[in-house]
Amino acid sequence: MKTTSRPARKRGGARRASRRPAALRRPAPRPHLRPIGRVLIANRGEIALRVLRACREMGISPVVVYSEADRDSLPVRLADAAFRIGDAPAASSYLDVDAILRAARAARADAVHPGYGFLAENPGFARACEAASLTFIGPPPEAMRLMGDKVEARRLMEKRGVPVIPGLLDRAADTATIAVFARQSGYPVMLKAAAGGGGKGMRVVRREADLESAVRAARSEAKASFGDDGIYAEKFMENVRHIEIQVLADAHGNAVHLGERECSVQRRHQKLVEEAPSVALRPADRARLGEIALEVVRACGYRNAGTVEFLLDAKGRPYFMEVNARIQVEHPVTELVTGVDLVRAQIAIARGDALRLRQDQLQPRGWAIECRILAEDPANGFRPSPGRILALRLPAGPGIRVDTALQAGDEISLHYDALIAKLLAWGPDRNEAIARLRRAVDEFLVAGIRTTLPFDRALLSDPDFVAGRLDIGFVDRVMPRLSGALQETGPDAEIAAIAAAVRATEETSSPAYREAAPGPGPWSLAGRRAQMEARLPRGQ
Amino acid sequence: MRYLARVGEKEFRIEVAPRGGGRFTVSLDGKTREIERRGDGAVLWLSIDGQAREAAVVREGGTAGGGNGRPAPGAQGEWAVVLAGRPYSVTLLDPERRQGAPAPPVLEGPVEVRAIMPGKITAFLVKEGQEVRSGQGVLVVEAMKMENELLAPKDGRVTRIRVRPGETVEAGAALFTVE
Repeated sequence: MKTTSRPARKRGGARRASRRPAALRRPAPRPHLRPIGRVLIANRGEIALRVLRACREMGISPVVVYSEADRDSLPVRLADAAFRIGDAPAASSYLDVDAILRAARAARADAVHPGYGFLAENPGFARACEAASLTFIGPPPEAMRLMGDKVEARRLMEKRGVPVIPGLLDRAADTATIAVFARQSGYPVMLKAAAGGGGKGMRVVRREADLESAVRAARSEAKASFGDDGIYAEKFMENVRHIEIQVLADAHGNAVHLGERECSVQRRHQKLVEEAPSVALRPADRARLGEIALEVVRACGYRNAGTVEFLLDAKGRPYFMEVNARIQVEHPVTELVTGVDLVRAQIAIARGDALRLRQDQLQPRGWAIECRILAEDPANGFRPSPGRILALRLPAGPGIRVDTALQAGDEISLHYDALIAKLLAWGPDRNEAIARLRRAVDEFLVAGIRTTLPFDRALLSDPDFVAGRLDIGFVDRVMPRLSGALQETGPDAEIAAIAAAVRATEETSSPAYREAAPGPGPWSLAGRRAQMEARLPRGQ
Repeated sequence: MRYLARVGEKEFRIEVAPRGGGRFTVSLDGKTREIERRGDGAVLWLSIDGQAREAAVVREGGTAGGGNGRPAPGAQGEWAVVLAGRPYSVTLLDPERRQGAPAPPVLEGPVEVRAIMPGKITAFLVKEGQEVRSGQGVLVVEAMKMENELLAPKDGRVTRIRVRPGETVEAGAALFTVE
């Protein structure tokens, strides 16, 4: 086990004596108070770093677990302690509940933050944490389960007159049950992993002949990503926008919504670009969807951060889709327009703090857009592009936020998700946010692997994107016209050719020089040059 | 060094002569320039025609070099170049042994299917010896948690399956043959 040096445990943050007179102190006894001095982060990459940063800002000691592949990763370097939990494959590391709990005990952590993906929406993991006297930073397992099977949420939606996407309530359906459902509701249908999202284990099936192989692929992806091969099916809707509402609910019965995110720019059901707010919602629509989302949350006894997902048809009618019981990848766009730190809020709620946000303070300010930067080659069907990062320059400057754990020298492994960074821009309006994002995409330099940056660059200048004319089929539709920008042959082709030729010459000729002409070494050359220069008059 | 460089449809004849100290004399289709290269490794900061241009230049096919199915190190091959966010793919060829455009692959006789990217074999959809139609899924490769089916390139019989489920393969590894 690798353990980086760490300071003596500081646990007294919550008990530090207040300097204010006793009379002014807030009434102390809070029913759910569970002090958190040390958090074990059961994840990797950018989200592990995101949680680590929130912990630091709250005076909480962050510790991480890591797989062999992540030994030198940034979260491991920055944490107070790091525990190796297994080999690179997720099944033998980030999905290994026992190994993670052992690390939490060894670290003497009080709480576990699961991030997103892996075990984040696994009620069994949440229960195992609670059984080990660890606060699970997320919803209570029971609420997670209720959200998961959707029955409660659907009942509520129907009562409120919100249409629900027809789907199987059984989250662990067998192939025969799925086939019956598909025949009844009509193709196309969508297969989804019961245990998580992110496009993993998702498949659109357009005809019965393809069902069996799609079910097999979806199960196997779900198993590899979440350790659970349960899948379910729902009717697949086209020409709709993906709109989701962020909510926060505490243990004292307070709940607020933080407005919407639009995530219609998707490819293979994987979100590529997200923004807040959405051009498709007026303030009244936002208030209504927000109210509906809060009602679902209250009905399920939900606590912590969650997202209620809807599809919006061309007429602006919402259809309830599902609830995500985790912090989401795209949470920073909400943070940028509301000023609320959602990860800090998660931790505060988990330790029993009361929400101090009021609904009327939560109007979105300005516009935020996020590009997910993936280790995929957009010029070749978004094929995975693992490899070593040879050089890296992150953009910065006004309105820019980059969430990434990437370092030059890192190896992008094929064992994990392809997300390597999230690039965000905030602007007073959508056009300024887009302009900042365009500028930042051009500053962003990653050498060694292919990334989706060229796709983002092209997308951000696409007239339909700029006008906000989006739906979940948008990417498939615009790919043909973006493709030219994904593999340039334009005016600078000559410069590109020269750059490649210079680099190739360096690579091939320098070792050859050394072998062919041992000659004087650089020190004797330098000495000779100094002698020569000493003999020459100045200025020559 | 002399190269024939291809970028899309365009072709350039380039000669690069290192002058030491990061200076190169480069002639492109007869036009000669003095170029200064600063920075190191994959990021080149080139002063060309009095203008500074930053280029990230990486040999295509990864950095491992010489791996299974990858080109051996040498001047020739595919290079990925990014100039101010714009991606270019540059093919460098030896002008003396100029190859014509690669002929479309002829699908006669046995066709060996190789991995186009590193990944893990998760399943076989057919058995060795089975007849398949062109475009039929033969095996499933998982990479970065997405599954991809590898399809039969032509009608025929699957012979010589070289990998087993659970096995991790490198890009270029031989997987199976259809004949």
